[in-house]
Amino acid sequence: MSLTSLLKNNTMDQLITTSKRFFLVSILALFISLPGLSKNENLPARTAEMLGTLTNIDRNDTSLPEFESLIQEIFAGKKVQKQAKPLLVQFFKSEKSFAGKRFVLQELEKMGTPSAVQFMAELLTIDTSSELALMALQGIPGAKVNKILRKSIKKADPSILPGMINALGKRQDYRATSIISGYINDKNPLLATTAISALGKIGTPDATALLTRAMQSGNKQNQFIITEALLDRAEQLVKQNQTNRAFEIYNSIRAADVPEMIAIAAIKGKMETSSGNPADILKEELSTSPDHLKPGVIDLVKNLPASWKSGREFLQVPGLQDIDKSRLLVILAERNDKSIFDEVNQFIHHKEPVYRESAIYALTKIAELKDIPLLAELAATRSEKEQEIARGGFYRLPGKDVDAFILQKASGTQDIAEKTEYIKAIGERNIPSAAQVLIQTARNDNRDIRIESYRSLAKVAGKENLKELTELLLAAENSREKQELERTLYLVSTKEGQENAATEEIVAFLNNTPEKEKKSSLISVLGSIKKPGDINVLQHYLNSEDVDIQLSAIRALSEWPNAGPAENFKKMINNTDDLRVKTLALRGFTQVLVNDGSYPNGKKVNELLFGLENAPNVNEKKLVISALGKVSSSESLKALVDHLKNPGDLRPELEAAILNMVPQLMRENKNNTTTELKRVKPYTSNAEILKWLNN
Amino acid sequence: MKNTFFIALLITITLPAIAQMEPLEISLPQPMFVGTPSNFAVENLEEPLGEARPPFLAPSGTKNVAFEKAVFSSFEPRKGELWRITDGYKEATSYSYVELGEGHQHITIDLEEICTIYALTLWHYHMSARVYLDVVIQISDDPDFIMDVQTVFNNDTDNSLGLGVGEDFNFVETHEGKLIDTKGVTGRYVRLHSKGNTDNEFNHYIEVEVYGKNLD
Repeated sequence: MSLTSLLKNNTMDQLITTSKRFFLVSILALFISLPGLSKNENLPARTAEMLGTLTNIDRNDTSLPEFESLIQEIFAGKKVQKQAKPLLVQFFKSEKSFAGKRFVLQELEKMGTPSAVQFMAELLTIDTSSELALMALQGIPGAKVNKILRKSIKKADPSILPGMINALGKRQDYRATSIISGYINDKNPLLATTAISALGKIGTPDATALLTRAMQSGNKQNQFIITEALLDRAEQLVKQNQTNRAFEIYNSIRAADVPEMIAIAAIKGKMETSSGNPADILKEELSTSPDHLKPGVIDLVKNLPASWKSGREFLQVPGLQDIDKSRLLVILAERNDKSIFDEVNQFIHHKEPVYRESAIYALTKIAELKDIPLLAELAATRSEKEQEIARGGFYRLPGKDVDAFILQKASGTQDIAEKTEYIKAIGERNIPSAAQVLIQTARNDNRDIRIESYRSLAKVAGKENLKELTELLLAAENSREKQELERTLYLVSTKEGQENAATEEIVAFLNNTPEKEKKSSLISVLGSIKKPGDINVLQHYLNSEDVDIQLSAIRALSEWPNAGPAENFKKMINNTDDLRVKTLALRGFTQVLVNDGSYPNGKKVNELLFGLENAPNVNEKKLVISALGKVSSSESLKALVDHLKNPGDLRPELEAAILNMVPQLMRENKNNTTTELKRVKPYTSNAEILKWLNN
Repeated sequence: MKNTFFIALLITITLPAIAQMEPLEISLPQPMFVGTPSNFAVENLEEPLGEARPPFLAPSGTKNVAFEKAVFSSFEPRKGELWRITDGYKEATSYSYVELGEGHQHITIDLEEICTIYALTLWHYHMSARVYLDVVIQISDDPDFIMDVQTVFNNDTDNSLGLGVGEDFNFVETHEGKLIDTKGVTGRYVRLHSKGNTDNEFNHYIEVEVYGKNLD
């Protein structure tokens, strides 16, 4: 008879009497709980079955939903189900299945019930599972876990003690302060450093005070960790806007005997958290810090607010050495702190070059219009290194008023060296509208001034100055100046968009200048510019009756980018008896053929063979053979192979030329190339050529 | 007795000559790297000395006759100015070197008069270790290098410059520069060829010093 049918039975009321009502309720409860009772009765078996399965899993991410519900069932109440606990303890004591243990603990971490927490606390004492248990416990929030961790710490497995202390630190459990502090001088360095770090994380005034005392007590072994923990704490306080407390920490670190890096960090912290003027802190430090700290202290000047421009106060701190002042000058100058000008000026005349160099550098950073003559003087008179530093500042000083001042000085200054520096600065600064000033200085009596003017003109002159530049070239007194002016004229002529105008001016002068040296000079410039339209002008001068002009035209056309002048050169090679003309024409002929990538190979080889036959000596033949080696064609190879039969003094060059082209020819036509190479076999012992044949 | 006389005579003749030889004073720039790397894929590479270069002996009175002399180049430099090659400044800085275009390029120094040349030192570039390729150095009285051309160095093993096959070693650029014994040749013009380097196609010069004496 089921309970339901019993209740429905009409005979029930007759059976019940008041005195028996309690008994009935008890029976009812027993029936209701019967299914549960039947489950509990199976719990050990089901637990054993689960643990048997878990023993054999080897992946942490295994999904076992049926076991999740069983674990929930076991740990649902305040206490763990008695029937299952011994089996679980046995499982966690075993050496088996890391993944299985982890699965159970992850479930317990998710549940976080008192029975789960309590069970995990018990596992902390079992060496085979303590680490996993601690990991799971850490993930459960709340004071209850903190309490368990605190209570467990003394009986915990020693291997997880650092982990427990770390966990308490991470959880910022301030109640653990006194427990943790017991470990900061522990002989085990890992335990000690973990405790120090944990106190830093807890961060309460008590914890901080403990760390401060440890630092002051001269705990050298862990000093770095202690101070690092304190610095971290101070940073946290700054973020929380508790700057006064942070300042106290920084101050205590600075007062202790700590390594240089920590001391500098503490001074920086003091500057950032002080309610007063951070510059005063630096001044105090400059005055009292030992020498080895000074560079770091000076470097902190960079951290002062940009608006603070009273650096001179630092330089007046008593007891500073020149090396400190020199460093200060550089850093203050980089902040554009002009208050230091007098000290910079003193150091510019220091007896030690390294201090002078620093001071000149500082000057370039703070210089104004009024300081330009000083920079020019330094650029003109000092050692090479100092000159370069001074010039750097001179050239970078901004402002149109600076440009105007430099132009005025370039015209007016009489001192040759300083005038040269002003002229150089015009070019380096590329001062527009300076060309007329430079054209004037280019006519100066002094050669250095003239040459510097030509160089600056190359940078600032434009097409409107071409006539004057050409006149300067035609008036040049020596080859050095002529060379500089030819270069200037070339550079100005080839500035973007000026090529046409430029060569028209030069050609006009060329036609009207009777002197051959001047003509040669202008021909050379035209050759450098290589304007296609000017080939006719240059070809005309190839026929000049004056051999020097003829030679200038050959040189000018020798680097022509195509074979345009080749025919002219060929005629000259055929017709001249002048060795110089013949040689230069041959070189030009060879070069323009090599330069012209669109010239047909067969034709090119024939022309080069003409050059080889007509070369006036062995040296020039070497040049032509090299050119033949650059034309990778069967015709060229054939010609070289033919010559190798009777090589004279040219064997190495012929072999080199063959080897230059063989790799490409072998790729293109192996059979023909091998056949051609076989012809050469009796005439060469060159290992590389023979290697190609054997391959 | 006769032998003793000849030995004394020989000593008398050779002693002044020996006494006139002096080590060249070659000021070196700051090194930019330690040692001489040799891991270049370049054949025929000179073994590093592993120590400072020994002094070079030259007749007393020998000086750098190229100092502040005009320099010409095959093409207008891409960077820098030619006068820097003979300005005496040989530190490896961003402004001290001249960069010529790619491929075969040359510079020519005009010593302005014919000199006896005992050695030259060349700094292509020593900001980083590299090898310049097909280096050929010639000296001549002739600005066009047509007559009386003397090749004092040539490591162009495949005649790619057309100046003949050379047998000298390739060398790694260092702050010591490359010293070349020119064995007292005479000439007015010194021409230095190269064809790129192991880092790029360009040609560079920081300084060239030519040690010699003017012909009296």
